[in-house]
Amino acid sequence: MDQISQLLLVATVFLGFALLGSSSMSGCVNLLALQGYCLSVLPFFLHHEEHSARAVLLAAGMAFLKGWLVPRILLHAIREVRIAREVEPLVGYVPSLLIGVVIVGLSVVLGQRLPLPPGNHSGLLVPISLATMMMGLFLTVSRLKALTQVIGYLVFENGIYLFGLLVFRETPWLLEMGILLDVFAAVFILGIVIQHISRQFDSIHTDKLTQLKE
Amino acid sequence: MRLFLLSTALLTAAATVSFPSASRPRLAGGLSLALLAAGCLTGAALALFVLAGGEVAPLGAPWPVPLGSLQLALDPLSAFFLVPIYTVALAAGTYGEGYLERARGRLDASYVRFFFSLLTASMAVAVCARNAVLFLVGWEIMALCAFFLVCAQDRKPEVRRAGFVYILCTHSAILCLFVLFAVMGSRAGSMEFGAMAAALPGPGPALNGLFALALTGFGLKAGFMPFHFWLPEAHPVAPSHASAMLSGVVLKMGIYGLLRFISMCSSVPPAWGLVLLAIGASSSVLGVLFALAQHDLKRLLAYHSIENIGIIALGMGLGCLGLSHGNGLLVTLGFSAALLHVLNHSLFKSLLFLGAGAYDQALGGRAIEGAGGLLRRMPWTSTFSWVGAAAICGLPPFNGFVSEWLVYYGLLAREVRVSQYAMFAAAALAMTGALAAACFTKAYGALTLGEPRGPAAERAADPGWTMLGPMAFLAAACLGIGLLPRPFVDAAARCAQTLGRMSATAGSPSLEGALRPLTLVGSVGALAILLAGLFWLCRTALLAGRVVGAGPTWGCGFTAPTPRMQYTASSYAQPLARAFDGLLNEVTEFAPPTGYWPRRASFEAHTPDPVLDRALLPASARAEQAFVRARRMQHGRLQYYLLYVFAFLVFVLLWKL
Repeated sequence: MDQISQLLLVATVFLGFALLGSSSMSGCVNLLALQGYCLSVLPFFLHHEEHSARAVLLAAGMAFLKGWLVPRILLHAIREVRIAREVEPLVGYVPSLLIGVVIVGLSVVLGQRLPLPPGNHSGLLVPISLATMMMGLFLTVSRLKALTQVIGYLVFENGIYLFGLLVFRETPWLLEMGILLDVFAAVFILGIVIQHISRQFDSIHTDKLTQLKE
Repeated sequence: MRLFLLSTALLTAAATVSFPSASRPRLAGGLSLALLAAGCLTGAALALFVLAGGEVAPLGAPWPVPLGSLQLALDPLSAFFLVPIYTVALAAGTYGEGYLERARGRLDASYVRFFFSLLTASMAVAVCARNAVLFLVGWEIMALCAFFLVCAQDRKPEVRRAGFVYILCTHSAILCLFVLFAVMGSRAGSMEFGAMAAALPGPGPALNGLFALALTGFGLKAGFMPFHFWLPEAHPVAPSHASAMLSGVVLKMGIYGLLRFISMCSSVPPAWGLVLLAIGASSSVLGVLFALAQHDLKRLLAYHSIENIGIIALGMGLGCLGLSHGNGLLVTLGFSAALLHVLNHSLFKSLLFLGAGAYDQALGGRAIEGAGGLLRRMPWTSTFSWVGAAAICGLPPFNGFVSEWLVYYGLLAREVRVSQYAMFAAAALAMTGALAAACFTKAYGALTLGEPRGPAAERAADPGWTMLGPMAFLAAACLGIGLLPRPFVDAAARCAQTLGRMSATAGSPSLEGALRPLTLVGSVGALAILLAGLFWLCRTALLAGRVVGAGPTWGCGFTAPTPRMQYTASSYAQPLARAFDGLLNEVTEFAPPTGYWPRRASFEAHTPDPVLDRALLPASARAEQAFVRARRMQHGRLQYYLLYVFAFLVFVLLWKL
């Protein structure tokens, strides 16, 4: 079981790297969906747990939202707004990957120094959750289009979800459902915002928003 | 105290009626003037009653404001400051009606009336307040009313600049006062002045720190030399009767505050007196020097206010020295000189500002250089302004002489010698007097003598008696105090004795020694003026039957003289300005005439203020540049903002883990 969970965690990081290095918009969305699926099955293998109804429900919700619904919305947006398929990064793909390596190193260091609640959990969980969060933040910082920023935000949220798995048992499930719902609402709103930005500026480049300054 | 409340209510009513009745200007003016006059007369009667030795029961009422209570009381010190407040408000308010009438269309009359009356009421409340919160509220209303009066013509950029400088200064001052009263109040556990005075620390760094706060806070309002820079900005741009109020009375509130603080201290270190002497000497000399270099009449008068505040500070310094050395005579001399100069300066300075307003309206500008020959064209204004100018120079038989004489006596007389530094202050005061005379001969000469230098001066005429009447009243007051100084000096001395809690220490020493020569000098001065008048009458009588023709001044045989070839104010002041160039740093732009047929030549000289123009503005410009550089961080790019968050998060994680 541990091997599988570690495999899934490593897959999450690799998917993050793939996101950093991917140049195609829809490719990014697909990678994001894959990461969502990985994370949705992770709770089963992480806690050696009887497959409680709650875990199943959470996994199903996660898979539905992050694996299917959100990517569908994003792909729909790409088609509808007729976004060019190129990602257009501010930081090139190779430097992005190098920064990703730095991020992973940094999060391993940080993960060792972070005081955690007692409990047996995989040693990889904390560093990888930190790394996923930072990669998500880095994606939002370094990519130009609003849609890629949504992707970055979702990656960031995946990191938070991973971190939440640490305290899975202590967290009431209503809270987790709430978080999922939040994410969904956020993506929904961001989708609308993207529509508006594109209608207003004939582009979804967020640097066009500097025109709003003052 | 009921009367005081009535007077304040009348003044507030004068303020409030100005807006609803604005559609009928004549009614509004009359009504608010009547209310203002009633309020001022009621208040002044009460103040005079207290100064004559009457007692007024203090008034206390609860007030829902935190730590505040409506504690009002009238001791001789408060009453003494109420006199100039009400007198000048009455004179300037009456003048203001005429002034606003003539300035219709350029000034919003109801706006000016509202803030003018409210300013008077708030000052009266601040002077009588015995609770720090009430005092600060009165003080702040006063500061804001003064700000709105300064900004009355806010369409002009220089007015907005002046308003900005003024509000910055006044709020820095009130910040100091907040700290001062907060510290004193927390020691006392109450914001009542009486409790605060009882809980003041003994001599030591704590008390000195409080004194420094008071000196900064009240000094910013009063205009002591390093804090003077807002005065020459704000006073010129206000409507003239408001300038008279600002310069004549509002500045004195700083003096009042400082005196009130000193009266609370049970012991006064000798260093305070010396500091005040040094401030007084530097303010008076530098104030008059910078006045000498000005070409704007009201700006010149504003610098003269700094000079006179310096003279008041000299008196206060003497009083403080007397307190710390236990010399009762010096206490009485010093403080009564300061108080009397407060009254005198408020009279002659407001007279001069009212005169300046009349000249300003007649000429359409405040520049001295464009005027000339106004003595013939505006005889009454010029006569009254002459009285004010003579009084401010400290010439007998006018009131300025009386208070300056007391300061001299305190600085020099043998029986009150406590510090050898007083000599330097006396020298500074002597120099101030000489320079003030030079300055006013310059300004008055350029304005009223010679030939008109421009078409505006050609057409100038005296204003109506609504404006001349108050000036006549103030001029008569100046002359009256100068000729009969006794009751005024006595009232000031009584105040000074309560300030120094003298009844216990020295059994109220008399100022007889100082006053004896005063009458003599005053009568000699009056005689000189009478003699001059007699000569003039003789001349008129002798010339009665003859035809008197006026011809051009002999211009060394030059065939085409023009009025522009007269001495100008700048050329008159130039030798002195050059002698003090190290202090003044006058900036001149001179394009001399060249060739045999010179086409164009120009000369321009102006003197930037050493604190505002040479120190504060460059410093703030540099600070602004630094902030502009920091503003590049705020560029509107979402990614970079996120980057800041990202970097900050990583930094915090690395730092805390």
